[in-house]
Amino acid sequence: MFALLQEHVANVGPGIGAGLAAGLAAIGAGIGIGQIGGAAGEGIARQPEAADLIKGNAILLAALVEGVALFAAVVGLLLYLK
Amino acid sequence: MIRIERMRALRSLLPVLGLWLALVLGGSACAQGDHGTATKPDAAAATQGDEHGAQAHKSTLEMTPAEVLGAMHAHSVPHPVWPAHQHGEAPAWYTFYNVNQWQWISIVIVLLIMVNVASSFARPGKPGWIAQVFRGWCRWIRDEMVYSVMGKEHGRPFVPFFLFLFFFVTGQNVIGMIPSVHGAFEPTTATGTPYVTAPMALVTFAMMLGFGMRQNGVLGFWKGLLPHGLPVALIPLMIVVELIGLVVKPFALCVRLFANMLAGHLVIASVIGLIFVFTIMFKGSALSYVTAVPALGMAAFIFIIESFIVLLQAYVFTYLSIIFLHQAIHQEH
Repeated sequence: MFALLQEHVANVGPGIGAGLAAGLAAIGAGIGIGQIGGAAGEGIARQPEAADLIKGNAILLAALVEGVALFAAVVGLLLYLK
Repeated sequence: MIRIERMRALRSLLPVLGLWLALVLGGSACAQGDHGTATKPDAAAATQGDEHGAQAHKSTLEMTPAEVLGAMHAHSVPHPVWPAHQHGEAPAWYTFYNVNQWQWISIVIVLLIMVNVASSFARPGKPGWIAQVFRGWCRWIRDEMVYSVMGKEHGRPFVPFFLFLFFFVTGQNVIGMIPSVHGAFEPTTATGTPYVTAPMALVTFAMMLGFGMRQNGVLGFWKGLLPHGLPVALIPLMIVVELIGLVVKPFALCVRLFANMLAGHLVIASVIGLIFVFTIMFKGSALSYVTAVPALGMAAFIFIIESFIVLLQAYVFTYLSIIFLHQAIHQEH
């Protein structure tokens, strides 16, 4: 019984780890990109003439944050596919 | 008059299309020749080996979801297309992967378009629409991306390289958006594999080191990595931190592009794969046809987002390369 349980649980680890990695990274990236987007929207509302500049920088910063989340996604994928 | 203009534009497109078709057909003929015997470079390709190997004619109803996803994404996994390899034989250094094939096609497309654009300055009269669009695009890259970061005097010598980088990455990304026909026409997202993005990031890294050392001197470059006025006790720690920071930049560049492209295509493949999963679940009954409708709608929605992301990621890759290069040349702390 215990051996059977152990055999089933033994293969579960990478899946849980991969899911946690991707999910937690998504939370972090969501907070980060949300703050960037919020600040960018506020900035554009205050200074509509600077909209182009703010937009470009916001996209760039969002890409930087997103990159970290994608690291986690790739780590998750590597864990899962092994 | 307008008609003649249009005809001229079409005629200038014809050689592009002709060469493209020849490359595609030649490439897919090569690829078809040894699908069954192709040696897979890594573990991720194992599913694909099953796909093209013994179980190639397995019915969809007998597949597991993992096999469905593997089949959906099989064409984007790198496998050698030339020369033909037997099982167990390691790929030689000159092996031509399907990824390389689409890189070359992307280069050829960019080259043909840019020859048209460049020669439009020498031709009298109004340029065709392709030349007009790409002239504006090139000017935007020069002014908004290179000059706005590096300044006009310092940025000028780097404009051609970054123009090429941008259009090369864009071409590969856009080729990846073309839906594939299994076994006949399989456009691969070359940038969706680390084997392609890592060398491109390494080129940026080499440029950072090379031009940084040329500008600041070999010793000055490495000294310039450290902030001024640092306490002596902190110097060993900061050397490690700054070295890691230097290496992480191109690594992040590589992983960002590859992971974005891979993730987008995996999502589309998963949503399309849902159709097959539901078909298996309902054992091919009439209800399974109904589930295809929302899945297709979702896939179209993600496809539209993804076609924006392919351009955005090319922009981000080029822009970050410009910023990193500028930081390496003009070290200010």
